[in-house]
Amino acid sequence: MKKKIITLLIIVLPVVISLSLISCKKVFDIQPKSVVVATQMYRNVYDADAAVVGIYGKFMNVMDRYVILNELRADLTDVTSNSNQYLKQLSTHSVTPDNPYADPRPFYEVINNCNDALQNFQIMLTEHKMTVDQFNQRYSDIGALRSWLYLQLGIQYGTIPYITAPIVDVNDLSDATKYPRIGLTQLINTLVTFMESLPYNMPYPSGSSLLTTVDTYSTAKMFVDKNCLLGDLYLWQGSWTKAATAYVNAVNIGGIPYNTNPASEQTYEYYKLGYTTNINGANWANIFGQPYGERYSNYEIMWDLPYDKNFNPKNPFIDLFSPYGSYLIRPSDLSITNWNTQFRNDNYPLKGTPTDIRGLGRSYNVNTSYSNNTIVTSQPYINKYFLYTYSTSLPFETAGKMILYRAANLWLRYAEAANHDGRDRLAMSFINNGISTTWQPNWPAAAPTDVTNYEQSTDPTGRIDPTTGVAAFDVAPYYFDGRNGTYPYYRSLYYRNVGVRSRAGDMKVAVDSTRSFNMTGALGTVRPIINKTNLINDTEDLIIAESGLETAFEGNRWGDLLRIAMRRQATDPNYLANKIGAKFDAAHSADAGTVRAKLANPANWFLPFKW
Amino acid sequence: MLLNNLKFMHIFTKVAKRILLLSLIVALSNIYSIAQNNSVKPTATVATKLKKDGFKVKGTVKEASTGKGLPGINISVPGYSAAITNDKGAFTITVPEISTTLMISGPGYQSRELALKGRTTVEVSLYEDAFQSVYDEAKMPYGSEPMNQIAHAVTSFNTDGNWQRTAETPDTYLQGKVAGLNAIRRSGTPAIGADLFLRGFSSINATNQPLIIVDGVIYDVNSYGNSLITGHATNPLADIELNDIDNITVIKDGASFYGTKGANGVILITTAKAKDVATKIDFAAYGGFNTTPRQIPVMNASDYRTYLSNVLQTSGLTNDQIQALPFMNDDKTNPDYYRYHNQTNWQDQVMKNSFNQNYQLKVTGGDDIATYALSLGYTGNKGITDNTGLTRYFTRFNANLNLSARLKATANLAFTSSEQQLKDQGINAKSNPLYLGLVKAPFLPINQIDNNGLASPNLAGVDIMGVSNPTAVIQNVQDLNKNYRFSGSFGLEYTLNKYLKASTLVGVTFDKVRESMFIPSNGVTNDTLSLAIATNRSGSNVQRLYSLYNDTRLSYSRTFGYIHDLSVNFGERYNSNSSSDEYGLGYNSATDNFVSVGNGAASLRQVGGQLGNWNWLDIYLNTDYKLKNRYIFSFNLAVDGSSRFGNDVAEAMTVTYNTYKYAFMPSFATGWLISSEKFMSQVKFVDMLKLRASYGLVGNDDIGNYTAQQYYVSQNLLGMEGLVRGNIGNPALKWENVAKMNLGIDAALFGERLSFSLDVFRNHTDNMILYQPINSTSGFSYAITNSGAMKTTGIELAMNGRLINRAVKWDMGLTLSHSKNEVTALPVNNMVTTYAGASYLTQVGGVANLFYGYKTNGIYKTNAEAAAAGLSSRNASGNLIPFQGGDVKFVDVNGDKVIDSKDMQVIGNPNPDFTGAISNVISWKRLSFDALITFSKGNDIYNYTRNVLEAESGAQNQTLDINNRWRADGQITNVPRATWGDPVGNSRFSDRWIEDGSYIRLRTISLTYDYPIKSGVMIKYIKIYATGNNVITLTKYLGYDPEFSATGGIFTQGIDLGLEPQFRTMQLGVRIGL
Repeated sequence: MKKKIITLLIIVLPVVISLSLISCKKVFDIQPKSVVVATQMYRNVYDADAAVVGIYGKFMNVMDRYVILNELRADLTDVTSNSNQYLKQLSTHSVTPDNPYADPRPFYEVINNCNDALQNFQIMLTEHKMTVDQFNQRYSDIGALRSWLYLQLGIQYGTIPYITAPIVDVNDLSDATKYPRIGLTQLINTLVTFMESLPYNMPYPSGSSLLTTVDTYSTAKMFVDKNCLLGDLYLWQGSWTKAATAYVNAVNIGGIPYNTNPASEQTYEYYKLGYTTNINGANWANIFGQPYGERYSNYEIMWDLPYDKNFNPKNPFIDLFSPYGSYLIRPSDLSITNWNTQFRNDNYPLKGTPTDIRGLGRSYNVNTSYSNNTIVTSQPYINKYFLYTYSTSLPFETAGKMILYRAANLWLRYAEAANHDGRDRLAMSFINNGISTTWQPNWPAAAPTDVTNYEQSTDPTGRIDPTTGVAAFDVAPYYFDGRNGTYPYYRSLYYRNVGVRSRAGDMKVAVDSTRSFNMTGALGTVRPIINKTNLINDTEDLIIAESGLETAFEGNRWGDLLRIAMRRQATDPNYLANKIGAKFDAAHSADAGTVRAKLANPANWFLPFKW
Repeated sequence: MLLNNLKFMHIFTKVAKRILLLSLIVALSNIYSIAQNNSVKPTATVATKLKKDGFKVKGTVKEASTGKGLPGINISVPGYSAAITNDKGAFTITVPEISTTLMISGPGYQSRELALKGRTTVEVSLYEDAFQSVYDEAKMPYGSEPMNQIAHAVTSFNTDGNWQRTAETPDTYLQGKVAGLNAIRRSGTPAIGADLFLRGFSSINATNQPLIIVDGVIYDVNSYGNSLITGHATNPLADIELNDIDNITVIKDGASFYGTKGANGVILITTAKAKDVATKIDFAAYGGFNTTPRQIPVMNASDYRTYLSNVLQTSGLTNDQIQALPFMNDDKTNPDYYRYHNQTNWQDQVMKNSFNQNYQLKVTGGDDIATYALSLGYTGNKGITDNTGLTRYFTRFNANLNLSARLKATANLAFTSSEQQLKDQGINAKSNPLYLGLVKAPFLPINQIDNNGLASPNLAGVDIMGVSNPTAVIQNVQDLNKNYRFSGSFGLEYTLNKYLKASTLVGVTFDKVRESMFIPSNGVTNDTLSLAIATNRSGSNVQRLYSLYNDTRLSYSRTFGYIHDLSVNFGERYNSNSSSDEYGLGYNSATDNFVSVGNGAASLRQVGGQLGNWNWLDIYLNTDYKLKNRYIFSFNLAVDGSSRFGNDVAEAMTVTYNTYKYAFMPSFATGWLISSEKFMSQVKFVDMLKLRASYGLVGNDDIGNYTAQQYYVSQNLLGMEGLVRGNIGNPALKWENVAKMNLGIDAALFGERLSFSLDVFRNHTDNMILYQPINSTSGFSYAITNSGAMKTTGIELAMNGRLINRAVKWDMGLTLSHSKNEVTALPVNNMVTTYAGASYLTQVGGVANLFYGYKTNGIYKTNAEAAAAGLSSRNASGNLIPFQGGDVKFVDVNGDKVIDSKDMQVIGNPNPDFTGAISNVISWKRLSFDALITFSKGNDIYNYTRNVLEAESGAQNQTLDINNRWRADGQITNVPRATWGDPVGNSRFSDRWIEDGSYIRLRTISLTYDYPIKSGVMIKYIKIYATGNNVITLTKYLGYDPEFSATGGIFTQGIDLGLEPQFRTMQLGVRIGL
């Protein structure tokens, strides 16, 4: 017995010690169970999907910041008495580096995840862990999303570090070569090059594992629309035709209309600013108020993300905007005035009354409290983000959606490109009342029997088609067919196109002809253009004004104003100062002068970049 | 009380019988099966070999207190010669050298050494066994060593069971016992324990708690997961019964025994072993009385009503509106009159005096093959918060087996099961009864009252101001913590030859904490969730720890020519752990009778948890060398690997093996026993004098299980789960390095009547773990890096003296410690950390955790004075609000006339200048009296509770001081005005709330009487104890008690969250020996 134990000990002891030493590599390589270590990530396409899903999940967290920065720095929103000093700084363009809203970190958090995914997707492709198709779709999606984020950083901060490699560990932090800083113009050119290089510009095809329905929400519209983004980038760049082409591509999804079935109204309504009672007139609010994925709002919305009360993040806009929440940001007096100076073309309430149906009750509302029949408080508040859902009686109904791109955005920007490409009439047709009406001047006084040559966009130079002997049709991407015949029966793709203002029931707007045309000729004759710059600028002003009415509070404003300001910097250096200054004028704020003076210097257009 | 005791006695006997039977069967069957397999009995000890050419030494041994010669005392030169004193205490012994050291020991008396220093005639006095002597043995990691032979800074003491201090856990017991160890009791909750700070701080973000080793096995005292019960943390050390502890040894300097786990020192606990083979049975029973602390003086109903109307006036309500409020109505015919005209002392309702009781049974014995110690017990200790209390059953079984002449085995098994009724404590305005007891409006009733003033048996609900009913919280909130811990170890030691031994020890720990919580809707304020209003809330969680430990070594020990003593230990320690934490929270069950999570609304249920695994390997080499018993050298080396370290650790002080980097931690200590030198033979009054110096590297591996790895965490997109980057990986992440230098002197003088140890030390931490802020372009706010450094210096003194040494013996002891900490490197200029509204400043050149807030200078007496000062405060909206009469004068540091964060400055230091204790043991005949006085000096406290009670910003009841508040222009007072919501921030974190936390406390007194027993009776002895705990506390502090510790972290020190205070306990007990 004793001997046995001795032998045992003598054998066991060294074995135990040596074993533990030899296997210590294993002993020390413990993988956590509640997180995934780098080596266990990116093994197959489902891991790649998880990365995409995670990135969009993170992306939702920057939506509030996206809206705050783009709206509060622009002219359509203002601070309230509840706002903290940092929001006030944003509004008055006096941001200090410690301002938490000016911290670019949340954007870079998503970008770093994008970089991580993009790099690993490429590794997966070389290691055959994804097919080429799977790679193309995911790589292009995340690549486009990163470009969108960089565009946002660019328009907020001006000069930013353009980082395309992931920051993996602390060693990457000290590597200064990873942080090249580039200006906005160079950034846009870089982004255009990058976007053009992406192998895939369509949505995820049916059958893709990322196309699914989760918690009743289809994922189809959650991903960035690459064509819209490319169009925007071209617009920033000033490549008008390319921009217009990209926008038309977005509507047609790569040249093919969504639906070619002539019997389906969807064919004519999908993203075409088509006439449908469900989102026309007073029902315009359905775009925002209807639940995510609802059929008719779906005709308008191209890219959006839903907020669900059961999942994080919670709809941040209720707290931000609602008087029952923190009420930190409100519609500016200017934006309210803008709506109140439009005129009705329909009978809501009466033709010719000065109001815009998109204003009170839809884009914003007023919370009024009374005491002894006198108004105690009257708080205008932004309503777009929680129409029909949240109320004081339903404080936990916080469902909503963040609309990042919709048809109106697209056509307003298309109009901007077309205008610069010599198509002011086409541009105005999308602003006012659509293709068919614009190119059917007599209608409805005398309905033509042959509409072959009507209701289609024609060449802006007035060129005559030698084969038909009448005005030549325009070329792509400026040719639109809005024909609509009963005998014989036919419907063209844009026959329902009504234009932004007509859809909202507003009267047409027009440029001041005297600034651009020689008005001496007799009525009914063609007036020659004498000042093309004026015409382009005046048309552009109308487009920008219209986007303020149509897409207010949706996070587009600062970018739109900045783009024009940069474009006109040589001719109108105070464009931005005046635009933003008008907000303070309308509010009778003492800050008007200071803000104007500040924004007269382009160096002050951008936020301080906090490293 | 007696009845109560009897009832519990009965329960106890039933339970005890069951446990006893079970464990006896299991344990004894094991021993005897092993023992029976070994028919070979151990042979007699190695015969003493006499060397012929030695010197003869004569001497006498006397009893120190009486001077009588002591017979039967052993005198020896180990391995050389031995002798026994005759009946006059005289002896003669042959020694190998004239400067050798004699070892003297005898039953009932202290063991000691005697250096001959060239003398051939010696006289030596021995004290009784219990005497705290410089020759006492310390239980070091590689075996026992006499204190006078140790070169490291070590404190060791035998607890002797300390049968009179049953209310203590090992950590609270250590308070005042060890110079350099600041044990701060966490709160007054039974068994909540203490946070231990050995020689100040060594870390900012990693643990500052020392490593605890129980019977050679790491005893994990961390908690894995958060408690559902606010302010509570389970204390695993409470699972070790103080009675079961034989010895506690504290290693304070940089002895790298435990490598990267030893940064905060090591506490070695040795549990009870049988001292001899005779069967000894001890039974003890105690009962005691806990008394509630002095109440904080808050307003009565009429003062409060005045205050309330005063503060409401500033909220924008008009006088008419205020008069219309139901509690302002003085018309008895008004139906609300009786509901708002009561005088309730809510503190009376939440704190009650209570009882405690303890029963213990300890059996030791065995034979020459096996000895065992078995202990069993029950504790029932009610808290002073009404309806709280702890019941605990514990059992421990230790056995030593001589399996053969060469093979020995040890087994240590302990199992403790506790169940504790608790209440929320600390920051929890809705269900913390102590907080509610202070702030609840005194004019409100406990029970519902009808229009005629008749009380119903139903408790009143949430009041008009939204405050819970404290009595409802006491009666109906359920906060239950059940936990158990099993720790068992089995060791084998094989003697290969005279000098070489091989041993291994395997230990297993299994710990489980299970909590359940229910907060009813009736009488407790609702909570708001993101999806609903939560009426009632339930929760349950389970935390588990499984730990496997092995320590295997080869030991070599040899004396060469009676001059060189060499001992070498080489081995490895391996520790593998897994922890898990799971919790579920439920809300809005149908009625308050459904208290489990499963009954809550399905859509609101929440679950969560975490898992952790980590492994640690420590390869060690220990070499102790003694030359002539007076020059002592100790070299230790630890080479540590851990799953927590990064795989790209920088090369400095590392060892690479198998591509893996190990921490390399050497330490060296040397001692010089001057008193054994020949030239000291003439200095008669010095018994022992030793100089010590040590320097060593130790580490702190509390850096997070997976911090070094780059990982992905889940991120949802609606209900879909995706993965995103979870961190910035840090492959270079490593342990915190602490270099410790220590100089010390130990002395025993005047025949050991006076002994002291004085130590000075400097600990320097580098590679300190910090959250380093990083570029915004990384998308992360920080990376965890080894980027800080700090140093702690200090001095400590321990003294013992026998003041009277006759029939009355009076031993007095003093411990005194001081340490000062200074941050020497940070990746940023400074860090401001906040907790409970308080801020701490950490910056290079300063103490790591200074209170950082506003300085005040009285209040503005008049509006004119305020206007003249022209200061204003910036509110959350960024608007400037000017101060006016009655507001606090804050100091405008930067002179910009705006009081904002730029005006914050250091306003206090939560760390004491010094801490310590005075202990007294006086014995006379059969009576013995102990008194322990503890003190802490110079520590600042942020009185969070008083901040609430003097904020004057809402409907909370306030202290009596607030009656002197500023109410009219020109009023001379120091109490600011009441303002609803406090718009100018009068109650912000300022020196108004910083108080001196110094205290001196009569911590424990006990009187023991040894009842005389006639010989021949079966009973060996009866001892009767009377013990008092927290008897008297002298302090200027205005809160309940100045001693508390919210967490073991340094950024919560000195913040009084209003945890259960320390309370006074009086106890009577009897111990019977059979």
